[in-house]
Amino acid sequence: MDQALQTPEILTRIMEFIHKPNLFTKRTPLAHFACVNSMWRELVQRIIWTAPPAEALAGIRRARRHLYTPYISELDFMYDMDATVHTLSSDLQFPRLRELTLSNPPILGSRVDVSVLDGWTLTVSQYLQPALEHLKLRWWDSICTASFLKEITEK
Amino acid sequence: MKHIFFSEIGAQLQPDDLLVLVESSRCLKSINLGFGRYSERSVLVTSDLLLRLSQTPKLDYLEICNLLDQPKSFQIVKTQNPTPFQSLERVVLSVSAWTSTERLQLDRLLLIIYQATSDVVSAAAQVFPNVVSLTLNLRDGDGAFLRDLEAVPNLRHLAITGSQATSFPRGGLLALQRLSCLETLTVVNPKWIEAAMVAPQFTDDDLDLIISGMSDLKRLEFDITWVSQSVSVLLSLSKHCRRLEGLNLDGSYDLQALNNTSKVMFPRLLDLTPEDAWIQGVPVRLQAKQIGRLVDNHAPALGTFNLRANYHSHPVTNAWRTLRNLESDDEGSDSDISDD
Repeated sequence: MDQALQTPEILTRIMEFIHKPNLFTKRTPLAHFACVNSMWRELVQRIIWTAPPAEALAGIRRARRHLYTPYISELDFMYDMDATVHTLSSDLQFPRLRELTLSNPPILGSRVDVSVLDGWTLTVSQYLQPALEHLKLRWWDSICTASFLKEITEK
Repeated sequence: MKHIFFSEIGAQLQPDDLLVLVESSRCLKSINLGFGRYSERSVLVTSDLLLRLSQTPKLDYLEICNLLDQPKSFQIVKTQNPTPFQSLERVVLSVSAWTSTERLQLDRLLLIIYQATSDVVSAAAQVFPNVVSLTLNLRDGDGAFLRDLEAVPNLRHLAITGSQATSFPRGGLLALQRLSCLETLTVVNPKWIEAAMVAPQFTDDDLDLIISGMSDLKRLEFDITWVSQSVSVLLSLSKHCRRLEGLNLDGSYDLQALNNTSKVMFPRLLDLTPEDAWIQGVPVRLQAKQIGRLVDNHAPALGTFNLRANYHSHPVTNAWRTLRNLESDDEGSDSDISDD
């Protein structure tokens, strides 16, 4: 294999250029690159999971989700209509998460009150940790309470 | 936390909750306190919170969308902090209090209507000494606050959105001449209010006076009309604002008069967005092709020019496009300009 293709810095630049997830399927051509060798797989994972689609973790088996959350630096739930997605990651840690967008957008003029969803205990505190620098919160009063702001200040 | 963006929330919060958050965020660089539909009901942005924000050393962006109808909030900041908001460069100051009808408009147009009073803006101007960009959304007032913007010496970008209850008398507008560093000046109505704001007793000479010191002006949107508006406005802009890149003026102008000027008027103008009214009531002397040539001559760098009439490209636009070898937007008449 060419020396350039074994150099992480060069490979990263190439992979970042190629990484353009399909708008609808969210699939990226980089997935094939992960099959080359362990170094390529590590680089691909780092790029793919830096800012994954909001529901990406849902597609991973529960036992393996913790392998990918350390890569995540950006999570955007702005257009995610299903607030219960947060329960999938309630027991995980996001040590590198820097940007977080939380939203419970209105649907057809009304708002879904997640607090009335029986059987679901929603929490977003798993995302709050010292590395978090950028917080966007929109349309979600049931989450944005005094205790939530207090939790932000404490973490 | 360095960046906090709140929008359309606030029902479950008390002012003290925000105070605790800001106190613990000493590295805060930007904050948007957008409490949307709750703005009318509760005051979440208090003078205490403003004071805390004014002491946040790295804060360079502040957007407030909450009930701010008391100048006292800012006056307290001025009294208790002699050096407020030292790093702050960009401010959006507003109070949201829209009606349900306006709310629907907002969702469709992706615009936000904010409403602030003149008194509040006047008081706020005293505590933002280093602000470069200021966006104001007025609820009412007579433009008296414009005099107080003198306290913001580095202001380069000023955007003012008026309302049906906003008026701009001559005295207020003339105060704009003191803002000599301006690169962008936008005074517009919300999109759904079709009528332009009227400035009683304002004249072309007044506009000339205002822009005479604005040699750095790059973009001007002026959705204000006055009696006896004439093409001399364009001549004044050409004389004083040689760096002008974007122009959107309300009113009616006889572009045919540009034929009397040989010097290129707007060498850097890239975007000219005339209103339909530009051609209304203008006596026709030249053909559309000739006027298109005049536009091309006086704005050689122009990339966007779209004069429309009755929802179609005006013949002048088509003539200009032909000169530039651009395709026409639609099939318009290629004859003389008309009065409609």
